[in-house]
Amino acid sequence: MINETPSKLYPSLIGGAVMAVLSTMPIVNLGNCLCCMWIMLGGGIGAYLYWKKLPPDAEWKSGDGAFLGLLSGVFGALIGSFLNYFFMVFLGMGPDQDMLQTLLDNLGTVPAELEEALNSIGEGGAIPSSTVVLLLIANLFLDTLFGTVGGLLAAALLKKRSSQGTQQSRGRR
Amino acid sequence: MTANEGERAENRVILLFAGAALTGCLLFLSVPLLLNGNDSQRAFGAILKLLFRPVCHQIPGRCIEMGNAGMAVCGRCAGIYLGFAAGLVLYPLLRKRLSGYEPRLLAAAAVAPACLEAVLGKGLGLDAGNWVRLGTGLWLGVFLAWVLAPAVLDALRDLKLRRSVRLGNFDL
Repeated sequence: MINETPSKLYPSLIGGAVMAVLSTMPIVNLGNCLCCMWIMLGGGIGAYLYWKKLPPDAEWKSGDGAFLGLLSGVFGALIGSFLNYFFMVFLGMGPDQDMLQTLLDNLGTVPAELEEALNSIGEGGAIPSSTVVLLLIANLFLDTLFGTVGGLLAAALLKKRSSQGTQQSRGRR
Repeated sequence: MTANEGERAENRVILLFAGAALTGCLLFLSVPLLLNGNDSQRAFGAILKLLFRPVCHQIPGRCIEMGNAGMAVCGRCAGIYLGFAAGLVLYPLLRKRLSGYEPRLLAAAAVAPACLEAVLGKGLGLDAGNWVRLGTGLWLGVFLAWVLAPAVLDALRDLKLRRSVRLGNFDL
């Protein structure tokens, strides 16, 4: 008998949206300071929502958890970059000045263009397109990495270990 | 492939991940040394510190100092990453013993000391200091590695199975 597996798209979209919103909201996003907690949570939520939709007799694999975490990370990076851009351009909330100042102090002599670009990021306002692309790449890297970790963690926690030490499908309660 | 060979191959994969984790640890550990160096070293150190910014608050009082510069991550994060790398290195030696434990139990054991320390710190105002935070982070990191390593191996086995089925090769 062939089991119909549920779509992975919606759980990962929800996971990605949770990841993006929590990671970009001012103050709340400080939770990411604890090993990208919100990113891992988003990946975990994507995996959990898929696990909940699985038929009771379907097998729950760690690979599914990892893939859902990864997919949530991709969506999280896309949505998060858009939200970041929105906050930076329309609300003038750039990265903190202290961090950029420390960077400029330690860089020594830097090209005027780079200094101008870093200052414009800190002040908000017009953001160079290269910065937007860099932010997207950085978000993609972090969100997919920690999202996958979150998905794997959810996969491990939703599985049950047999007395022989092998992992087995848990099914739904 | 015999079971023993399969296990050895899996151990090599885990050690590969451990190598990557150790490389990350070396990067954040090298930041204070670089920031105390010459101009180009300081520039490289500042860029490295900026790269670690998204994963840690980098509050100066929470970062363990080496020389007169702090690490690129706080004490707790440093502990988590170092512990994670150590846990992965130890996993091949302990995997048979660890396979008998529920992942949930390991996860609960992982977060217990850090939670206790946070509750004591925030609730009773007993600031444990950076070295205690490093210790609880180490504990968390080691157990996190022990929860994640079997899941990673399961995921890789699953990938291998899917690929073999697609290629019509069922010799697993």
